[in-house]
Amino acid sequence: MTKAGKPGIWADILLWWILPAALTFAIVAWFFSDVNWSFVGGLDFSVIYTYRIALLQGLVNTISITSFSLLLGLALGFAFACLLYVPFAPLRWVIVSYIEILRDIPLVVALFWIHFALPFATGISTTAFQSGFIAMALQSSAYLADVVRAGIQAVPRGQWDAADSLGLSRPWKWLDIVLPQAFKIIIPPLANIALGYFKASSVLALLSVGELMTVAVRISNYSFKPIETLTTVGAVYLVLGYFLSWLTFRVERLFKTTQA
Amino acid sequence: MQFDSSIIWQNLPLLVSGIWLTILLVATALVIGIVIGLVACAGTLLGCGLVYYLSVGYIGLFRGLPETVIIFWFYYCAPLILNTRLSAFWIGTVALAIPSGAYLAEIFRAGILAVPRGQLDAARAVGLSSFWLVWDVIAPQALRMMIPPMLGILTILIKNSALVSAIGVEELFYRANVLSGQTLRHFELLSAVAVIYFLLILPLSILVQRQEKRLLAQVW
Repeated sequence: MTKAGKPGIWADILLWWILPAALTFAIVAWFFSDVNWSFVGGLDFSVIYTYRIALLQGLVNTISITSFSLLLGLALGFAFACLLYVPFAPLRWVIVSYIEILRDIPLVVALFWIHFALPFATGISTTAFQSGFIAMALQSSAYLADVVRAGIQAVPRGQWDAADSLGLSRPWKWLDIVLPQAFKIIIPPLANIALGYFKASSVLALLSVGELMTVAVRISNYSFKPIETLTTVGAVYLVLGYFLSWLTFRVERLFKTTQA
Repeated sequence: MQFDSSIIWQNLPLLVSGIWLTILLVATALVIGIVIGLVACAGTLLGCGLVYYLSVGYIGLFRGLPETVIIFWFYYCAPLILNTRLSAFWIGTVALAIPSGAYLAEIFRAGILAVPRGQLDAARAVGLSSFWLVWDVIAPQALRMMIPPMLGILTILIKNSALVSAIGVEELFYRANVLSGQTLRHFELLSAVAVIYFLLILPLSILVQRQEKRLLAQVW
């Protein structure tokens, strides 16, 4: 192939059209030839209807643990982000390392550490649900503190100067000027994190916390119908996740129109 | 209750073997994910008809599903409907690779689309054939944009590799769970594992933050 000169139309067609199409066809064909169709024909989704109450309870648990832990995480995140502005360096180091440590440990490890290791140190044992709540709240607080910090930084400099020149005291400057504007700025990343934690809450199934995925695994083990239950639960996560992102898209647009 | 670090040193060989398996798992999943991501990215950018819709559907499906659901589905359901049988290690690898392939496809697409249109026109104008256009003009510029988010995907892969312990792959977190169950020293072993994950991910996290800063400095 020469670097310049003739475009080489046949090489283009081979590289960009025939090769990908053949590859796709091969993968799809292999997949369909590998499927055990007689088994697929015998799938029985009535198991979902039988256990609908348990699944619904699991979904309620998923939504409540996600929303409550995120609310606590958001409050902590706001607190940490504001404390970063306190002119006392050791406090800043503590907060920065707290954020980095919690961001760099997998959620499952944090969850198991809180459930199994922490009681040795504190002497207080927590239920699985409480451990899941604490783990999600602490980890989301680290991510959210970072997001809020970026949001505060994005508040225009002139707003700070204006607040100062109006003679607002420090608490009012933060509560009336900085934080409301920072909150508007962080709505999109906040929604992203909320969506991520809605999905990540399924991790809590490894500790049988009692949310949707735990219920699904229990039902599939009990009824020997993993395909029906796990596929349905996956579809629930998928549909609710896309519904949430559509919702945040609408909320974002609403905020944009009221702002202008 | 005392922190007895001798438990960690006694079981160090098992923990180290777990670290190696975690690294192997992540590396294999990353390679497979990059291949899938390249194919899916090409499908969304160049494909038409069925190829395009398959790529878009694949990306949308696996970005929306939770990691745990994918891992459990591949472990419990795939052997029932597929004739192919895989070991737990390979099921874990594939279950990690497939969603990361979807995320990587989006990263590749964003990186390629971030190359200014004028670069393409200029390359066409000097008469580069499409192979050299990709190799000499698009790839170097797009790759620079892709590196921080790809490192981000790598950290997410390391974190998600702990989930594979649920299907019995003997990686780091599985080792820690089994050992702490046997010795009843959860505090020491789980703390050690948390520190190991932290030390694995911290350099990557610092690198990502530095790279992002540098990219931003270039853009502005």
